[in-house]
Amino acid sequence: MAAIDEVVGKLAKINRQTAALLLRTVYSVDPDNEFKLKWARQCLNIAESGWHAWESTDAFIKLSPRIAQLYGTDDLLKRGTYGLGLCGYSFEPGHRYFTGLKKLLQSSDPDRNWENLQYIESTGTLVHQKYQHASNLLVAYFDAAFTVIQQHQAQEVSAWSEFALTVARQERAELLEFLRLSNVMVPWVAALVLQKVSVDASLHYVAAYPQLEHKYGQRLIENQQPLFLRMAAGEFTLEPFFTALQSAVLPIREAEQLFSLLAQVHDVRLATCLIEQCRSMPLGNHDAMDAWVSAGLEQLSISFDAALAFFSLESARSIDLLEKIKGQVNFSDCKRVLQMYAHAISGRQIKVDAIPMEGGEASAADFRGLTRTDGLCIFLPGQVSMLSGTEENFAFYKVALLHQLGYFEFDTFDRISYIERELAAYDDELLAHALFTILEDARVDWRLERRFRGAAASISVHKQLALLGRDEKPFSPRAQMLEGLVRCGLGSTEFSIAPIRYRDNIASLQYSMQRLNCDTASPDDTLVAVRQCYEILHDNVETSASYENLDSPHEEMLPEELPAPIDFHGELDVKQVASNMAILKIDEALSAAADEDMISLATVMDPQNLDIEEIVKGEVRDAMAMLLTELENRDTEVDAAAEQDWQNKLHDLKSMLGRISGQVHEQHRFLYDEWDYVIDDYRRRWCTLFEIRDVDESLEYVVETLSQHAGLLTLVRKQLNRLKPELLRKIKGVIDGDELDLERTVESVVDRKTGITPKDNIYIQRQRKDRDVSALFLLDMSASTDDPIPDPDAEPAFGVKDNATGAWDDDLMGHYFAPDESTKRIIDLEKEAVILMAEALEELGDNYSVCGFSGYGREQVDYFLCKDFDEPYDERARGRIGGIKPCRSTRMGCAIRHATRSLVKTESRIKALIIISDGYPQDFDYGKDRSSKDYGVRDTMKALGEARQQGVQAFCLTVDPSGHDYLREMCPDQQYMVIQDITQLPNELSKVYRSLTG
Amino acid sequence: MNDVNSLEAGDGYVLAEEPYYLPLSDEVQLFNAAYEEKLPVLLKGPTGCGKTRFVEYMAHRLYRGEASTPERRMVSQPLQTVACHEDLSATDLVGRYLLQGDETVWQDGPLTRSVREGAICYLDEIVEARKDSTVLIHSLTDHRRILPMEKLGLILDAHENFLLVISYNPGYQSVLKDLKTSTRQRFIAIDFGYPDEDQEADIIFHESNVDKDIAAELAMLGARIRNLRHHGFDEGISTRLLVYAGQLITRGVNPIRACDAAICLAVSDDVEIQRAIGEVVSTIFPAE
Repeated sequence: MAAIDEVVGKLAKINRQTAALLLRTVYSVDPDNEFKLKWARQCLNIAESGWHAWESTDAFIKLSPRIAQLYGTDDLLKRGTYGLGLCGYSFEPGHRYFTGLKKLLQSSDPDRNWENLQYIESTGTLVHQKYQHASNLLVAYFDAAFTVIQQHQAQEVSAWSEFALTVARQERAELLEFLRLSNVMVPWVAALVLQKVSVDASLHYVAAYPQLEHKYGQRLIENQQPLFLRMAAGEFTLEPFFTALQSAVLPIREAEQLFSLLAQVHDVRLATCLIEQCRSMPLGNHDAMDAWVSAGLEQLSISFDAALAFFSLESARSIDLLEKIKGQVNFSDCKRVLQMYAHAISGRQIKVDAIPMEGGEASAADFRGLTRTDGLCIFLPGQVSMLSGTEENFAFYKVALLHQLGYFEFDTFDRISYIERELAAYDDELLAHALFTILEDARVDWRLERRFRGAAASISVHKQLALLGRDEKPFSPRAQMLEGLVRCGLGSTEFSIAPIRYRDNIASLQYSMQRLNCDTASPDDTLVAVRQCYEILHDNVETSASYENLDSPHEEMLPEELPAPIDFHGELDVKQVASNMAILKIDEALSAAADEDMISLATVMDPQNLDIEEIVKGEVRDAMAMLLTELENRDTEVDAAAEQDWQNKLHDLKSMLGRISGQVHEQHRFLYDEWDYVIDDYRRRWCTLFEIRDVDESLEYVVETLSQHAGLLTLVRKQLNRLKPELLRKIKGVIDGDELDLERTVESVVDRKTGITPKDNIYIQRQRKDRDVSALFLLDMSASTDDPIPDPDAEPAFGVKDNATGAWDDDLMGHYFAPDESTKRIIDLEKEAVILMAEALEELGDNYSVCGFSGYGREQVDYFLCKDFDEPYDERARGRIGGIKPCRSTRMGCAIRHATRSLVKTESRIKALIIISDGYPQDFDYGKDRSSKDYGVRDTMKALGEARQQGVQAFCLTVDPSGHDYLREMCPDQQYMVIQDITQLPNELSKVYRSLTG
Repeated sequence: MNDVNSLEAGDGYVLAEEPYYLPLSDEVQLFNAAYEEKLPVLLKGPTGCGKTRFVEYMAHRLYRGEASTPERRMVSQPLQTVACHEDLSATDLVGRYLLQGDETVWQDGPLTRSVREGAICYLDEIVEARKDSTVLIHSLTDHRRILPMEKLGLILDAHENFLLVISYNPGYQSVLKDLKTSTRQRFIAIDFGYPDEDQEADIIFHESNVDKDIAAELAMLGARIRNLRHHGFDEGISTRLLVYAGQLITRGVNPIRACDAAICLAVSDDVEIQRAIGEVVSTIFPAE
């Protein structure tokens, strides 16, 4: 066989070992000489195809005898030809192909796999044609293809190939990503069907499938094929949809319900929102959820945005309906009742508030935190919906609150410093704290049940519920013992959760705990029980570490061994409460000091007695030392400035204490709805408003303004003094009036008859005696108010006319403001106007407040409270008004709502809201379309309407020349005014005030 | 004139039986001493804490009971009570001429009757009365002990057994209606607060015949609700209302319902306050 020798010779020049291999193999491949030559030449061709191609040749040669034997020589030559075709640019693809073939031959069912080769080869050809220079891509293709062949039946392999074919026609990156995903098990037939509808959707499906299958099970996901097909048919990507499905956390039963709800929703964006919000939905309640989804779909008739807001749980309709069907109780709705309840039961001025949210409003819908108290405030979950009805959910609030109040009622907090010291003395502090919490919670419950017969039933119900909700066995014996103790406290009589060999210990633990179940058990008894239980657990029970046979066992308790908290018990932070109780003492002494009772201050303020954390102790000590020095140096007769200074220092220290105890921030945070005209509904709790009192102060500004505009102030005063009291009062015993005072009349007749001179004051008259007005000035502090005031059109006239009639003299105003026009900013005008008004109002005696607003985005609406209604117009208030400066945006609706709320609280007969702004409402997220003013204008309009409904008369003053356009939409004609000449603002403001309240 | 008088007065309030009163402190001794020394008495305290009952008790004790004398027992109406209001004038207290046909007939007012007979005159919520009526009592409450009767042109000397007692509720009076110093400083003052829980339980038990445990729970309810002073009702809840609730319970009304009717709805019109109190009630009394 000279021809073969020639081939071998040529091959030897390329690689001697390959040639030797060929020589060894050629005679065992097949007896047919003609075939042998063909085969040998094929091998040579492969080896000659490029650099290192002999490696592919080696792989092919090694396979050949087996292929020839199993599938015939024709098949062998066919595979060789195919492999050769791949070797043009790089040897790698061909090599991968032959290696793949080898794997097939070694597989458990080589015949089946061999049959499926055709599918991957045909797609491979196309991929090769399109990307012949991309050897890595081809390598990836064959890696994936041979994996698929081995994993799947013919139908699936065929589907994969077809799928791959389509993807191959797309971008290279998509193909690579697809090949990467092909290594995992995916139902390719189903994927292919989806691909026929949308390639993009099918790729997302393939990417998501493994996790979906793991999470929901193969059957459930395969059953959703029609749903996926329908979603894919839409024009929007399915990526967020599948991502949402992957990250949803649901029990399988609820997942089925979710999919049945999704089947009703045809738009993938709505479906995605539904999945994202499903955690806060009662999916188990089929009828209710069906009703909710139907209501959501009805929103489509309004607009798509309305439906989107509905399914995103942003619109009022959506949230209200869901809360109704869940029987949800919101803390904000029952805050006052719970607050009063806490005051009544405890007899202390303890605050009740919602648990502060972390991570912004987005997490609010499914937010549930643990009840707790810091000794000054009791924090309850923002909403409760875990039980089936409103009453039951409210009962949870009550029981949870009562439990916290139990700490006050049964002396836990009176002894908290002592308790803290005792617990700190244990070697294993974590274990001691855990035991204390468990035992004390049980004691408080038992004592509550005994003292309050009415609450006993509710407490018992919640104990049962908590017992049912306890998790499976904890992992270490010690954790099991603690868990057993928790269950014992909840009324369970058995300790089956812990190992039998600890039976004696268990009996002792139970005994120690049950001793607290009496009328007189005190926190000290709990500490005794803690000591007993600690000894049992610490000395006798294996630790978690030794249980796991680790080399160096940890004696101390691990955080993961702590039993899960009980919902209605919440959590108890002994250290924080101890610290806050100490602060409370100082705070009370400071309040007394403010009332000139200095003795109590000095006695409490011994820093040695302070039980605050070390870090803050120094800070407090310094501030107090300063205050005490001040106290000693105070003369008996102090002047007003020194008094003010003292009060300021007192105020600072109090706010520092507030900050340490975490009391300052939360009490000034408010959530407000916002009107979205696009969805024709409110967006619930959409804006977060922060009421800020700590603003920069600038008293100089006020002083300067007053000295600069003394004349104008006189005018404003004069105008306001003409305001008449508007309240009628019945005055009896006058000589002239609308009706007779019967009693006096009879007396007068009797007097006449008995010869005494009768009195003639026998009438009743109705006179206007009182003013009952509250006014709030709301200043726009947006960045644009920093702009200088535009030049007036004409030179102001300087002539001062006769003002004896009391009429306003516009020229006079021009005179007052003209000199500074070039440098003055809009905000200065606003401030000056308000300062003059405030000075004048002080004389009139009307109740008024001055506030500013700004902010950035719906999560941060800043509301600056410069002077509150019940606050004196002192130096601080003046300074705050003087310190107003331009900030950021103008989210007007939210600020108006807050102002309305403060006005309504005053309960005055006339409530006036005067908004001074320089332009239309705007913020970066005030409506989806940033270029449109409509959203902001409509929301402001709605807020003004709400104010009107609540008896607040609002008036908008704007210095925006285009103000007419939007103001006409927002307010009736008589409720707005556009000031063309900005210097008229102080003048106009007092006119407006007169018209609103006169 | 006499006919009219007897017609108007009728049998009156004769204090045949001793009213129940549980002394909280030394108020009985103090009142006795004041009576003996003819010192006018001012009773201060919130509504429903037992001021009126105390005066009734003392009147019975001094005119009918253990501290009485034959002369005092002769007084037919030992206690003249006047609930003062904003239209109450001096005439209402002293007396007036009435038109009867073509004649005018004089009728004594309650104060005049007490002064003549030597009874106790009790002016309840004195600050509500018109200024002229408060000034009227000045001459009766110092060493003079006289009552000028302007219309009759008479000055009446007070009977030696006569005592003026006034009550005054500092809690809910506005500043405008505060008692004038010149008036205030003519009286010895006895301060009344609500009884403590145990005493209040005894009172409720005695007055309403309710079970002792329930009485104790009603007293606890009272104490807890009084913690709500800062929420719009400074007065708190009176012992009287707790007794009412006890009485309803004695008649078979469910305790929660009884407290709802006698307490929650009575103390405030604010729905949230009512609800908060309702929650305190249902914390103390079990639903049946």
